Amino acid sequence: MVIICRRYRISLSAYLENELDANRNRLLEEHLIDCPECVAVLETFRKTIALCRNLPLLQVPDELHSRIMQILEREFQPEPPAIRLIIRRKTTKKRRGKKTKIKT
Amino acid sequence: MKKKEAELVSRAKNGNREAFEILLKKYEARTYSSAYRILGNRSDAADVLQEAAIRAFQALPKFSGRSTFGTWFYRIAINLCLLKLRKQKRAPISLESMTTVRKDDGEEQPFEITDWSHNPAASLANTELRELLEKKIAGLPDIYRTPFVLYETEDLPVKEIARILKISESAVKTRLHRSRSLLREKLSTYFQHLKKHRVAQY
Repeated sequence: MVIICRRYRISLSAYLENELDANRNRLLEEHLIDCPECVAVLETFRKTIALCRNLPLLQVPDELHSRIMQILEREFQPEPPAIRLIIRRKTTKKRRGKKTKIKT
Repeated sequence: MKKKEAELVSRAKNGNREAFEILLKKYEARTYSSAYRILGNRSDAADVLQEAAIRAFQALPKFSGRSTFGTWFYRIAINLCLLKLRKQKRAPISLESMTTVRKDDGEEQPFEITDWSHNPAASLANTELRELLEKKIAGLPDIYRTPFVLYETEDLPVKEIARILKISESAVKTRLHRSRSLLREKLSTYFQHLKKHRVAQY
């Protein structure tokens, strides 16, 4: 690879992201007119990015999803309603107690 | 839509597993795909998704709702991926080994430059190419792969990636450029082989 081409090719990402300053942008575009190899690199570079950006999502195996839900069910049992009621009563009593103190 | 999700989050916060399952279904494919692309194998990606789901369900009561549930869940998974990578400390692959091809006589030579961008086979409808690309992304050295996946497939801004990876923005940009170059070269080799194979057929 000619050294001058190497210098331009390291700017390809910045060029495609419109991050080159006007002067470097102009120099690169002038070089592209005379260098079909760098044009090929640019076009395949652009295509590679497009392919990567459009890669489809992988499907989560059904067994994995079910396993996760089974673990959640096993590890995180909801509190029985009776306990919840007791906790709620205790908190309410505490709050009432505090209110009375403030009043007196 | 947002209202419906907020409702699901609120139910899930109270321990409702059905609501959590709906949220999980919505975001699991994206999370699993990123984890696979960052870690390079499905078994580790499955571990991360499972761990992220458990942690998210556990931490939901503390979820403030400043970001969307999806973003929050995704961040948990990405942090787990990074943790896993740090533990694995895979042997680095030299850049040179990825940018040269070995000839039959063992001598290495740089890639020949051809423009394959208009080749009809350069499409994601081409299963072989799609699988190759997944494989090559998974084969990138860790330091390149993570910013690449976060930027190209997850669309995170450079600033955010720099923050997550604790590196400078310019380091993120350099790594992105190197990843793209490496992948472009890998695809170029594929198209060269394809061309040779077709020529040989006729």
